Amino acid sequence: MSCDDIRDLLPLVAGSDAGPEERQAVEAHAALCGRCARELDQLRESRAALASLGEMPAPPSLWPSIRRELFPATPRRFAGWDDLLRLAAALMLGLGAGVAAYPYVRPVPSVEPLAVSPLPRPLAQPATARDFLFAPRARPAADEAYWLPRVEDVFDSPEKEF
Amino acid sequence: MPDANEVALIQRCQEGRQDAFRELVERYQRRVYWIAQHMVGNYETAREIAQEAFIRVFRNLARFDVRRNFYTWLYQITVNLCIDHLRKASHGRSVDLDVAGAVPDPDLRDPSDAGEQAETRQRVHRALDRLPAKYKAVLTLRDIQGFSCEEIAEIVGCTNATVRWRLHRARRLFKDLWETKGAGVVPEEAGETEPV
Repeated sequence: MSCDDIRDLLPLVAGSDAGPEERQAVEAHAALCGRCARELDQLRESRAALASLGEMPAPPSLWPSIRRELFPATPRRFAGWDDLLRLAAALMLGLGAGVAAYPYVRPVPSVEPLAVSPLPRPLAQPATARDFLFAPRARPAADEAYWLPRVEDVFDSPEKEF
Repeated sequence: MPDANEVALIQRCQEGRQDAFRELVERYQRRVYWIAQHMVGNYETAREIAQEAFIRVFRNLARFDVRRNFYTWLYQITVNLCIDHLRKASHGRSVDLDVAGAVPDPDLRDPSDAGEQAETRQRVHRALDRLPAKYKAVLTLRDIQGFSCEEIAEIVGCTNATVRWRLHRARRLFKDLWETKGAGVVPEEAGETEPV
């Protein structure tokens, strides 16, 4: 192979990108041609300088700025004391309204009518305080019915006060 | 073929899981950042490009086929963003030579980085900066990041043969610039920043 053919292969051989046959041809030629050997050495030297940049430290994390762009934080609404006070006030109002309205809306309990007493029947004899208190049996059956003593029967004289 | 664990992780990301996407970011951010940094030569711009790459990935993740390799898609987005940036900056782009060799952020500065190493890095970045974007891309991916020609072909969207050809041209150009310490003339045929 001529120098021109070899020179085209030199950059690839310097970077280990040539095939085995190409590499052998270049090395065989470089052993005989000083100019191609020098160029091969220069290519290897410059490539080694490039490769020395490969071992670089890690940069500061990119994540914080990426996160800010892709996942912007929404303002967090804190249910602070204002919201809690409003809630408490609403509950109190509701409770107060309920208490105030209760008498008007509560169900009226069913009340059985009291037995209406019959009109008192006149007694055979005016009742005395003693009769009223002590001797219901002595009274005739007709007078056993419920009746309301008249006040003057019980308190017809000062002596009859209990 | 993609790893089964990564497939599961990506599927969780597709469901919108924030914690899963965070894990994905932390897994790939180092490489994405340094690909961008070596291509654009600027710390802050590289960081912005890296963030944008992940944001675009997340927004298009629903359409991603999990049977593909995720990292080639991610790096493809990264490289394209770098090339877009270089195209916009075009001839007026300046390289932070002060930072290209010595990392500006104290957190990133390697304590064992002696003066000679820093000078080497500066010289490398000075030469890289002179290269057209398409050559810079293949050189960064192959000789700095260590991707295979097949992976690079998938990332940059061309054939294996095209990658080998670009590597051939890129290494030759870089060697010339390296020898002249970045002062060499880049041939006109390679002077245009063409899309990858």
